[in-house]
Amino acid sequence: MPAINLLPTDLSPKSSVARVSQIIKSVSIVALVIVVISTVGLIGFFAFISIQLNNSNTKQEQLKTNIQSLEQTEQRLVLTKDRISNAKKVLGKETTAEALEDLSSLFISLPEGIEIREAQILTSKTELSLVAKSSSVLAQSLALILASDYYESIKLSSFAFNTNVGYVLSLVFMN
Amino acid sequence: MATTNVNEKSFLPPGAKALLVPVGLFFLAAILLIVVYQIGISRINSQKAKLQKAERNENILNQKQQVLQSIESEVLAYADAVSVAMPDKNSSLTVISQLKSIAEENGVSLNNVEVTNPSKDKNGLSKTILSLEVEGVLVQVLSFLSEMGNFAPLSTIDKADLTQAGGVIRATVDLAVYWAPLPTKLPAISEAVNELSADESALIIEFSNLKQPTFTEVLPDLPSERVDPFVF
Repeated sequence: MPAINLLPTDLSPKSSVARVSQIIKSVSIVALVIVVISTVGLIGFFAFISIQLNNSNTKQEQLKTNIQSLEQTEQRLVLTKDRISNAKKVLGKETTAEALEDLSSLFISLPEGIEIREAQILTSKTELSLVAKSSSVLAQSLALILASDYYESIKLSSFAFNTNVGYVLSLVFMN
Repeated sequence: MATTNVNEKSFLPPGAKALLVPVGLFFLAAILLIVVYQIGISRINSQKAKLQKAERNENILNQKQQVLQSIESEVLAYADAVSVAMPDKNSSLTVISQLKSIAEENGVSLNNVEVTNPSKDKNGLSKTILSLEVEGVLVQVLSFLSEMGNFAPLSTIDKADLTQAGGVIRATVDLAVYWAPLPTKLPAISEAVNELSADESALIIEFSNLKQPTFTEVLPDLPSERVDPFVF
């Protein structure tokens, strides 16, 4: 018996429209499946990161507790670094220590017969007043002083002869 | 009997009716996909940022713990050595004690020690000037002057005047003595801490090798038996 379609023909959609409708329905279902899978995946990944974050926070708390027990050590380290920083400021200051050392080395090398009358040691310069008993001692001393490389410049500020003491000279050394 | 009026026209054509549900479903799926991805990805990115920050903090704390544990046994000695070299209070008395000790060792006499009022220099350090006179033979006086830079607390010789009379050298010296207040705050617990650099370690050794002041500890008397004054 042939199939009888009792529906009026003008009420059914065209076959092409029915095909398009089917395709769109399939794509929608696939998209919905993707949404569900993605949601599950994203929730899972979010949960994984949250667990790692939780673990990291727990470790941090543990480390903070350990560091708190080392507070005295930290205080001493901070103190040490602070003192060293202040000490560096002192060590960076200009001082006459090097000039004193140079002058000491100079004095030790001077020959006998030369006496130191006065010496004034400052950070920028050294002023020295010497008495030499004879001209040979004077010449020897001046040669030694000029040969030393302790000073940037040496100036003879005064030179005199005294029959009682000998040759009196004043020198200014620039440090 | 029910009748169908085939001549009635519906609002939507049959093609549109057939497409209504699938297209609606499609748009729903598309909207859900966009919403899920936008919200999901932004939440995940935010959590990842938090995790990265937490891991960074964890590394800092770990490094800090390691540094503190590695220096725990030695840091007390370091702190002592540098605290003596750079004290937190006026150390004039300690310096005078050191000067007396050096004067005795070098066989020179130390006289007329004067201390000026404290002042602050441009680096924030407090300082006072000790003026002193030293008398002796040239070699001994020079030795004393050279040793003045080798004791703790740290000091600097600002000026030295030497005069000779009758074979005796008299040296008048201005010695600057420094101190600085202690730090009052510890860094935050989550702040990184660096171990001592090579330069700092070398300075600690240098300060430990300076002539240290001797401090006398006065101990309290122990209880003793009380003698009965009425027993003869």
